[in-house]
Amino acid sequence: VSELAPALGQVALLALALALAVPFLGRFLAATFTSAKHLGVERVTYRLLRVDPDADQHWRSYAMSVLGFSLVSILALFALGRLQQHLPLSLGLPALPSAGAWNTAVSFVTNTNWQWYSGEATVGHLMQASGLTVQNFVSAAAGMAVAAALARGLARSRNGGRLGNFWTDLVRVTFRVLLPIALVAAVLLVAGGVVQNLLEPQTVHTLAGGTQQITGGPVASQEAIKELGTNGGGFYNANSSHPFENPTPLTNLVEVFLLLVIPFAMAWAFGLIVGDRRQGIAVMSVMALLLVISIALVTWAEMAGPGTAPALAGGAMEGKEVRYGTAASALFAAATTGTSTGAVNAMHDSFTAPGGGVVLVNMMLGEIAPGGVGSGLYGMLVLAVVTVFLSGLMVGRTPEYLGKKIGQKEIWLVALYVLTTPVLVLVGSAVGLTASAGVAGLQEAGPHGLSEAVYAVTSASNNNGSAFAGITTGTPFWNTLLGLCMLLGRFLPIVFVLALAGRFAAQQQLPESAGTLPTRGPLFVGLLTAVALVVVALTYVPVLALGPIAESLS
Amino acid sequence: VRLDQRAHDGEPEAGAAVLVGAPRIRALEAVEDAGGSDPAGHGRGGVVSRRSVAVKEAGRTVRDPSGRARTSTSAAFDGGVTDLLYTLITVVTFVLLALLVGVLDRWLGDEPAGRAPATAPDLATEPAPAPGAVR
Repeated sequence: VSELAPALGQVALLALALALAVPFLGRFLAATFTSAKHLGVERVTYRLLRVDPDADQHWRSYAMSVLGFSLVSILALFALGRLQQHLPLSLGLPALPSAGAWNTAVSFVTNTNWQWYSGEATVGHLMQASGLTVQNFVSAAAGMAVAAALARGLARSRNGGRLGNFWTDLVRVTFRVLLPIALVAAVLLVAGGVVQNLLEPQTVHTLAGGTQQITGGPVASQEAIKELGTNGGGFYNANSSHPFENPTPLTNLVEVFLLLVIPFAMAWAFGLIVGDRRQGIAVMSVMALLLVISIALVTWAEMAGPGTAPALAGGAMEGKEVRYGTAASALFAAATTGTSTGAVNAMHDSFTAPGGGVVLVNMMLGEIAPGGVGSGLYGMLVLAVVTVFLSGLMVGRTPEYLGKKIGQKEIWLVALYVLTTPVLVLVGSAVGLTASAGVAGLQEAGPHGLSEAVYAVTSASNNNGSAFAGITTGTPFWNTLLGLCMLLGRFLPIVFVLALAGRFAAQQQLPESAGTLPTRGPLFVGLLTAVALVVVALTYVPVLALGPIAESLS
Repeated sequence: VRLDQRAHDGEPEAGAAVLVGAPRIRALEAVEDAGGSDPAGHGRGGVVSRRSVAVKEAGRTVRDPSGRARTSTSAAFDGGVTDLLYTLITVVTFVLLALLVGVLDRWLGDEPAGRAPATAPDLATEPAPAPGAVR
């Protein structure tokens, strides 16, 4: 039976679900970010944190709050990993090694969720539930807060660079948005067969006469926020290809929906925050366009995989679960790398060369299609500024976006943002591929080996977290290199974005004039899409040519 | 994967624990990390037996046939020096980021808000070019 019909059917179903949910959630998010009222539980939290929720922070204070919160989070999670053997519910597991504990702490605080370890055999229930899952919530909330700050910066006029309050944004997003949706999603996943318990590993006898240990745990509760917060760190080593995390095609579709819904809704909320819904729709259209292109390309590559075995199996089935098939695996892969999720339901290392290349390019785009829960929006808005500026240079229009002038300093900040990740990816890959400790981790030689290393560094630097597999990164060298990439890849762009937001907030909002480039129509959507693709092409084509493109041609 | 690869590779030896999907791939990686090779010669698409995975335990991470991994004893707790090192790396990185915030704040703060930067001409105030005019 051809997989084309179900492939198209699942995409149609997903599109319908998103079309229904995004406007509603977008309105709710906008209200969350702009409401003056505090809930009771939020007031208690502010008291515990000893913060004034009504203080309007300057961009500098906002940035320092993000950094301070993240520093404390990393150190706490690092300590949790190193002291695991002394803690309850550790399942008798030893402490994580230093490099591994640090990598894991950085990974979850930066919303990357890169995992060098096998979750069910390295991390006990306490660390899973109170360390990693908590970070799944708050790291996502921190990203959304930064995106909201940029939206406010564009919406405000001459207010001295004040962007709102980080702590208020963090707490509100956690309590009002992430917790309720994750709770409902966890119940849905449990109903779909995902496990949720606090049991010790169970030993069972197989039909073949062997024995097998089955690890349960608080899986559904982590799975829900893992997708919803575009985190991606799996409870099990096999991540969302594990039947306890993602048992059926239906749960697979629910998980894909969860990882896409907030990034799209944030774009909708952006339009409402800046007072022009069509601005948000334009940004969302670019996200959707890039995602559709990506889904189509990966699905085509995997369903038409070259060779006799793929032809007989109806697609390139190596590394994929038969209960999903090629189309659902391709959909998940495109969605997880288009967002900053990094969860996988198939092994990307086993994808065809073009399919693996597309998911790599998705991450190189900066994960703006639709991107992380917060980073997707602010990444796209930065590219929108680039688009306006380039268009202005080409046709002589005023370089301004939403009434804010794009001057020298704004462009400096944008350039620093755009260059940060490519520098980390290319320099990090070069270090990994030249150091003997780095090369030792590669499974393959030639173009595929290059792709393995580049994919790992790209995933870390863009805070995606998906693994190409085939590369052994559980070593001090790779844990340290990738940890640094995650740290700098997360917080340098955040600092530049908040500085840009402060700059915009300090400016006077100018009315549109005849010289203003319209930023809400199809022309702008096309320009922004082109700019996103050109920036990636100019930056990454050489390394792509040596990796997936060379492999495709060989 | 399970059905396809079974059909392709044949049934495993009696009593062997069968790994499929990602645990199989990772188990093979562990074998290769430890300097061994898949005795069945199936490669990454093959079935891995308990015996093949237990080739050696020389690696940093050892996986057993259920796909579980455990860190070696020597790596379980390697003292406070490395912990201190990673703590230092983290703190120094954040201090540098905080300094960057300060530098950017000073750099951005030296210009009155809303004034058009010198390098960005305010084209809105210029007369619109005639159609077809070359600027």
